[in-house]
Amino acid sequence: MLSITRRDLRLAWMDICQGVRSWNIWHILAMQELRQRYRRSVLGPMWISVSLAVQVAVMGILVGTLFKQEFTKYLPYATLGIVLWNFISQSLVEGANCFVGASVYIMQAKRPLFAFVAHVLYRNLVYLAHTVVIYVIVALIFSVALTPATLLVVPALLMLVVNMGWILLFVGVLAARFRDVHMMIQSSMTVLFWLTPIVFYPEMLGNHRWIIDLNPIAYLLDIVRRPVLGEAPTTLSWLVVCSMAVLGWTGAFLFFSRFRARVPYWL
Amino acid sequence: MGRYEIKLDKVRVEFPIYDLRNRSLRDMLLLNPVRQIAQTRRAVGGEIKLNAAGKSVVCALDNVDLHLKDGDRLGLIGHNGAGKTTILRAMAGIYEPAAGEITTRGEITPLFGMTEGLDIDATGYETIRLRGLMLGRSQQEVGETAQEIAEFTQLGDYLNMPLRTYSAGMLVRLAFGIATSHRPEILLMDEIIGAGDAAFIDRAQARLKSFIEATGIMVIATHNPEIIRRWCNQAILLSSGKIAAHGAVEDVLAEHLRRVQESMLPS
Repeated sequence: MLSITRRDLRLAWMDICQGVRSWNIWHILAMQELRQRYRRSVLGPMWISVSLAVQVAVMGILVGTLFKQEFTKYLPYATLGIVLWNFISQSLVEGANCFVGASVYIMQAKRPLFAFVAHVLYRNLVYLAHTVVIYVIVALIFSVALTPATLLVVPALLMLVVNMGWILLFVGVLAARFRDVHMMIQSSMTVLFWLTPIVFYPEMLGNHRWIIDLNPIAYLLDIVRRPVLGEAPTTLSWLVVCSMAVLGWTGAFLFFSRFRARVPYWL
Repeated sequence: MGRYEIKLDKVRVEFPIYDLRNRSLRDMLLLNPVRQIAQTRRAVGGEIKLNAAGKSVVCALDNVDLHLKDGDRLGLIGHNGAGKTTILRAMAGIYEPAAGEITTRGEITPLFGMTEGLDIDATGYETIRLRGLMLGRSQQEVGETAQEIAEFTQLGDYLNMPLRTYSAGMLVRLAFGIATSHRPEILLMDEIIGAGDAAFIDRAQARLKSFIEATGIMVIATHNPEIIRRWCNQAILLSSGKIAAHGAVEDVLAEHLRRVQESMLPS
C-alpha cells in the first residue's frame, strides 16, 4: 500500500517538471474553455466581472448593513474577500475534476499529469484577473491607500498559488479514484464560506475565534488580503502558510509518487 | 541494431474492478461453484482473477513478451476485450504495467480517438496547434506542419473558421491531415485512420501509404483482416490478454478464423 520506490519518486518528479514546462498546452486549453463558456454572449468573459460585481453589491451591502459596518473600510475588505474566495473555492471544485475532466486527453497520449493540475490553476488565475477589476473599482471609490506593505502581495500571491498547487494535485488524484470527492468538495463550499472570514472580521466571533485560527484557508486569504489593503500580514500567517507549503508539498508529492501510474486506470 | 525498438518483457496489465457490486461480482465469477461454467462460456474480455492483494481484477494483459524492431509492421487481431487497445496504450506509456517491463526507443505517435475531444468552437488552425502540442511536438514543428496540412486538406479559409462550421467530411479531412502530418518513428493506431469522401480518398490513400512507409515501427489494432494483409508484415492474435499466436500474417489470420468458426459451433 505505502511502498514507494526511487523510480516512483523520479517519475513523479519528472511528471511535475514536464507539467510545469508544458505551459503552451494549458494556455491553449484555458483560452479555449474561456471562449467556449462565453461563446456568442455579448459581454463574453466580462460576465465573470459582472457576476462578481452583483455578488459584491448584494452580499457586501447586505452583510455590511447587518453587521453595522462602516462601508469605507468594510466594502474593500469584503470585496477582496469574495474575489479571493471565488478563486480558492472554484480552484478546489474544478481541481477535483482536473484528471477526470481531461480523461479524453490522458487516454490519447502520454502527457505529464501535472499539466492538467496546472491548467486548472492557470484558468482560475485568468478568472481572478477578471474579478480583481471589481476590487480595483471599489478601492478607487473608497480610496484605499497604497503603502510599502502593498508590495508584499507579490510573495503572498506566490505562496497562495504554491499551496493551491499541492492541494489540487492531492485532490485531483483522490477524486479520480473516489468520484464522491468532487461532490463532497462542492457541497462543503457553502459551509467553508461561513467558516472563513470573508465577509466578516475574525474579531466579530469573540470567544469562537478558534474556528478561524484552525482554518488553513483563513491564513491563505489573510496573507493576500492584508497587503492589498495596505497592512503587512502577521508573522504567524507567514509561518502557517510557508509550513503548509512545505509539509503539503512533501505529503502530496509522496502521495502522487505512489498513485501517479494508477490514475489512467481509474479514469 | 535498429534505431527504434519496442520491447515488452512479461508484461501484465490489470484493471481493478471498482464496482459497487464488487463483492457479488467476485462471488459470482470466482467463489461460486458455477464459476467453471461461467469461465468456459465466456467469449469476450480478459480473465477475471484475484491479484496479489486479494482484489478482483480483470487481467487485460497477461505475461506478454514481444520484441519489435525497425521495419516491423504489426497487426493486432482478436475479439472484443482481447487486449488490443490495452496493449497499444501500454506501448504508448499511458498504462504502466502492474508487472513486467516495457522499454521503447524512438518517439511514439499514438493515434487513438483522434476525433474525440475536438473543440467545435476552435478554428482549424487552433485545432492543428493543440493536437500537435498534445502529441508532444514543439511550437516550431507545429507551425511548420500547419502550412502543409492546409495544402493537403484543401480546406483553405475554413481553417480560420470554428469547427462547428465544418461538414462531417471536412472534419475527417482535418483529423486525417493532422494525424498524418508528422513522420512518426513509432506509430500506434487503433483502427486505420479514416479517409473521408470519394474525391479525397485517392489522395488520402497515397498519403497514408507514404506516412506508414516512413514509419520506423507500426502497430495497428483492427477487426478487419484486409487491413492487416495490406499494411502489416506480421500479426498477433490476442485472446483474453494473452498472445495466442504470433507470426506471419496469413498463419495468424487462419488461426483467428479457425477460432471464430469453432466458437460458433454448438457445444
